[in-house]
Amino acid sequence: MKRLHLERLANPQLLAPAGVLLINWLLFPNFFRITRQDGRLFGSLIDVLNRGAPVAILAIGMTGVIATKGVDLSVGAIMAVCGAVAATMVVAGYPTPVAVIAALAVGIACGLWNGFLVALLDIQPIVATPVLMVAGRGIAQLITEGSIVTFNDPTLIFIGTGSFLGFPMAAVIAPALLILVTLLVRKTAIGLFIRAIGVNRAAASLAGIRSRMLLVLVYALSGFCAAIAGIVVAADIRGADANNSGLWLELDAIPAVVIGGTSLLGGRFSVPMAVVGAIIIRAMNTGILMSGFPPEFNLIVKAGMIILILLIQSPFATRLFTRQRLVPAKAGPK
Amino acid sequence: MLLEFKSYGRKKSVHPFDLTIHKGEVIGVAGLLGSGRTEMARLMFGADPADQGSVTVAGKPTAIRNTTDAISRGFGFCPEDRKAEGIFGDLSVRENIIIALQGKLGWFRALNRDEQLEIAGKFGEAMDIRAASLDMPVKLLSGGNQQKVILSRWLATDPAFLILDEPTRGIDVGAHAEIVRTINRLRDDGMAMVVISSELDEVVAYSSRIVVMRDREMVAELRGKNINPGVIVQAIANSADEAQP
Repeated sequence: MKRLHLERLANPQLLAPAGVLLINWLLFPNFFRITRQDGRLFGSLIDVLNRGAPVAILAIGMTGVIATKGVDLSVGAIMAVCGAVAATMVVAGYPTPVAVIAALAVGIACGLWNGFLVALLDIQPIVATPVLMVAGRGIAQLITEGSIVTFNDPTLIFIGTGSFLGFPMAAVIAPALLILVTLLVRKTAIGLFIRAIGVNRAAASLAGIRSRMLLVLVYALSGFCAAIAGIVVAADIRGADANNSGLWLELDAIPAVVIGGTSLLGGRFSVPMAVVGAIIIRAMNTGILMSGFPPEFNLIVKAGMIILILLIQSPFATRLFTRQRLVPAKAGPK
Repeated sequence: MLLEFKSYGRKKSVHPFDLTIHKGEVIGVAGLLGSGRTEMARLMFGADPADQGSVTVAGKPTAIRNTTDAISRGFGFCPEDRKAEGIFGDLSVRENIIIALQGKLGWFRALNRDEQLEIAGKFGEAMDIRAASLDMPVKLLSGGNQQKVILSRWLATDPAFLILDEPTRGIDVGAHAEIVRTINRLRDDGMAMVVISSELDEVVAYSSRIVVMRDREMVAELRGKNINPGVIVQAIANSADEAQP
């Protein structure tokens, strides 16, 4: 039992962010300096949390999907749709809560559509979710009628640029969602069932797990998270940009989940670590920008990081690390 | 009488059959590979829902549309293909044992770790599962021990009726004997079972009755002195009329 805890502390998922933050700190001694101005906190670290929040929110929803051996490529497009819904509704004069709830409902509906395709029609997620990835941009453009819908609604703007206890709202919403979803999977049996489906869906159904219902649920949760991210992003720029809101963000959310140690083969997932993954990606991003390299370097470093993490998770590395431990175990037949 | 299937069948899968199962009875199912034995098991368990016929459980007419229905009525099913449909390779022995019980309890009554360990320990010990730890991935166990894990999974749900599809296929001698012992013990404790097996000597030893499948049809039901390998082979080979006692 003790050994297990030591292993947990030494795992690559916790060493990686520590390493990235350490490099940032070595390069920019001011990296950890946080100042307080007009009741708000400022600093690179706060910036990482604030700018990393949309991807972190997407990663929270994406974790469940990947844990069932799926993938949701439509989250960026869902962000655009939901941002468009919220923006056009406040512009049309609806009260802000109504607009926000409507946008969240649209996000869930998008997720249910994905769940319907994957769980009920048994279409592979990598084929099913791009349907909405493509159509979503079109739907968002139809809602905004092709233009960027800007708004001045103070409540909605507060979600993007306001602060709570000195922290930017985005950096408050993401942890709140993280706690909520973590409690949902840890305090109920849902986490175990999600892992079971990821490892062996046929066996899960035979063991009495309602795998179709759970699959629909994880895609709906992913859509819901995308809706929150879409609202946060739209509120931040005070407008809904159907073309660029959330563009390619799924390609940040998926690595975030994988860097967080969730296995693409099912059986293992962690929502908090996916958020840590999102923060690593953002911290690397900030580090590269601050060091004066062109932002294009980001993409190459990100790719390198993903390869490294995948290597660590690969069966080859697992064999390498576990061989010694397996020898004393009496696992064989009698 | 515990269970009664009446002209129970599914198109393109199993011809309608009648089968009555009492408490403490083991129904052996014999037949060649592809004769519809596994389809019959899946049908009874609701893995493939029936499209004709009826089933009564303890005298009450009931509908079994899916595996959840079946499990809630006290059914359990150990599938033939252990690796593809039985075990969750990357989950621990503990999780593999408690998962059907947890499925029965539902999403919101989660067993905590201590409860899981207690249940897994109890059934693991009863089945003599040889694992270094209950927290090791089940895929590291031998085939026989994996089969015992799946049996333990169902015993943990306190079932009234177990369907075992080739429970002794491809496992070592020790585990084989343990599983046969378990079948006998459960029968003596009053559990109803349907056991599909290609090993005729074994089926003959523990079955109260034997049904024979051929071409997706139940062609014979053997009782008493007809429960012997010779008659079974004949029933598998001949037409239904000749095999009936």
